[in-house]
Amino acid sequence: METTTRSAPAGVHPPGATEADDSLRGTRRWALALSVLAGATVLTALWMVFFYVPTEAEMGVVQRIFYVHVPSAWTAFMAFGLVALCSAGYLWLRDPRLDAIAVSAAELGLLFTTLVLLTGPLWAKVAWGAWWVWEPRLTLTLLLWFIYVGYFMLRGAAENPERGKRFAAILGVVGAIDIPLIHVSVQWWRSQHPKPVVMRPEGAQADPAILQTLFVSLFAFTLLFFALLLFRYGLERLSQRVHALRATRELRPSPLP
Amino acid sequence: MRPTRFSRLAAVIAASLALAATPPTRASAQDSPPPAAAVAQPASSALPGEQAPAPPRTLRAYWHVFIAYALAWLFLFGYALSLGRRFRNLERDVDALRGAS
Repeated sequence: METTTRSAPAGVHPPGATEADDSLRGTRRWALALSVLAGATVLTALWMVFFYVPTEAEMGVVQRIFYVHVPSAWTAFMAFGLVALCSAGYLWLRDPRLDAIAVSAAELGLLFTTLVLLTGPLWAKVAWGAWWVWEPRLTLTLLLWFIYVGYFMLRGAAENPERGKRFAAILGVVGAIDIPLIHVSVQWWRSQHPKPVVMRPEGAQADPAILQTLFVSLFAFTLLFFALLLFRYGLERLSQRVHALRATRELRPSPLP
Repeated sequence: MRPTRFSRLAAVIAASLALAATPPTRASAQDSPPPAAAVAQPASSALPGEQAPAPPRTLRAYWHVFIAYALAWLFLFGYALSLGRRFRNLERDVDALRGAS
């Protein structure tokens, strides 16, 4: 189901076009099915956040931002992990599908990191009295956001698109090093950011209703991520097809005057 | 380098973050920060014995929750809509290119 840049005779679609159409239709079907599932889970998560989970005793109502902030961070890390894996695969195999997954995941990772960087300060202003503090976890998360902005700038700036993809793939792999650093930053350095609630050596520590709501929110965001990823992947493959069709047209000899 | 729509959006978000990071010049009594001890304590992860004094409970907290959820869903819906729009444009391009061949 590779898109191809070989020339095709007039009136004939490039080889592999039919399989690519089928593949795209399959991707879209999966994306729609996942979207329905994600929508139902998101509604359940929202119901739990606003009607089920009790208001946290110490922080009050502002703690509810936690159920959108933490799942956004989890989804962003998952996305950038996927970018690193697929970028490494692309550097090795040069398969355009791996690059399509990497760029799709990077875009979604950037979206979810933006949500982390927007919802965090909204909580911090009430909890800390400041929108932003230059402490390790926040600074490293902002750095992660800039790394993946750089990923897209590299792709867009290169004269040769293939070269741009390769450089971006290298940045995608190297940039992922920031993810474990963000995770351990609250343990390694003096950090103002709250410690993990679930991933801690002594096990998850919070009210069961808080944990249940958190897990449902995490699941909802994960489903939403994969639904959007499939849509975005389909879009990237379609974009690759458009480039291939354009290249096919350009390669075709022009009719004599 | 030619600024793309994406890099312009990134610049706007970066500028907003930089503005948000600027310390406030004037703080009202309602905006006054909580005591230093409250700063290092998580909302829901601290042990009961470790809990710091709670931040002041004002209407502002409700607004912040509302804005956080509104922003999250606006961004996600906006992104989904942009995917749909980009799909339609590309499909039009594919049809045009196939029609021309």
